[in-house]
Amino acid sequence: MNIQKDFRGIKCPVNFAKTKMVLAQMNKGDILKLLIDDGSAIENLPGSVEKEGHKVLSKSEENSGGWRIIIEKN
Amino acid sequence: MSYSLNDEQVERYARHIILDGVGIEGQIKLLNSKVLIVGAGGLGSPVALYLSAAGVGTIGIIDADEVDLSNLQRQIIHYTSDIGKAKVLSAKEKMQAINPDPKIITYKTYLDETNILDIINEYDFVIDGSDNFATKFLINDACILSNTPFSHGGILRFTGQTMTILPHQSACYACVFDSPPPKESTPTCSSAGVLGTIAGMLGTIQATEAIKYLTGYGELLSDKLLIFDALSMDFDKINFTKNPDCRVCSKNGIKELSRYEQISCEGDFK
Repeated sequence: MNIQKDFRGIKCPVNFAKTKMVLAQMNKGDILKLLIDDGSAIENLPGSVEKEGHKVLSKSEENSGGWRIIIEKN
Repeated sequence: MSYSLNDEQVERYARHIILDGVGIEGQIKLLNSKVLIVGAGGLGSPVALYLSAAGVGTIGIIDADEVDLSNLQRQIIHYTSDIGKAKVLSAKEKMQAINPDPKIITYKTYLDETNILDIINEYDFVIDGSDNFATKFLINDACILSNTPFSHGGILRFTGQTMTILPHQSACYACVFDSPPPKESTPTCSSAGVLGTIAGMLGTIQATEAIKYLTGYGELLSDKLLIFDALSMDFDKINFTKNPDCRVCSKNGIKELSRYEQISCEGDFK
């Protein structure tokens, strides 16, 4: 299952709480594609997701603003 | 247990959801929990505010009194404009203003041996924020009989004490104190002052114990009496074990409730 969410404009740590909620409803191996803001979001969120045991597969800057991160649910 | 969190709840409880030990699961447990707060006074105020903010699903609050000017120095759930209003209604308004999620049930009555079991049986955990020894021992007895865990709390002057009782597992209030103290050893009206912040310090600890019990995380103050003296800021924990001859919770303990004599003018302990 692939899920996409746009959490741009949502501040830390609410963006992480929302990410946790989405991941909790996914199965192991599923992919979550997230759009998040530049700044504290991209600095903090990928590390927090990894601390929860998930894998951050990639991070790339978006032309439309913010960052796209791809997470594999563990 | 059933509950899923909506978007607003994920945002409201974000700091719990991201907290290891609470998380999504713990928050859902809180939303499914029922806590009874005895007393909407000094201890009950912070307990009611924090448990509402935390999203405890059902909160009962019992108090027979109306808000009085002399309460406002420490009973922070009540405002000057509430003077004369039933404390339980004043409390309910603030609790709902903080968070519309919890269902608030008010009881404008005194607890006694005839009504306490019916009320307590509706709840998962009880907070003793009462202001007199008769009620404190009655709460203990009823919680032992109904097997309901509770947090004992008491404050006086610059000191506070609290203990969490897991009936038939840990020491109960009577294991530690046996029975209400004689009248001559209780504080008189002139010596029963209390610093307002002490109510906040102790009530907040009681609310924390409730949340720990409900989420199942951490180590409770069971078999431990926490005492503090705010003048030196010394905190101590005194270990206790169940008294095998306890007049309340032992094998030969109480089988039904009885009335404790209310000592009048022993001061306001809440």
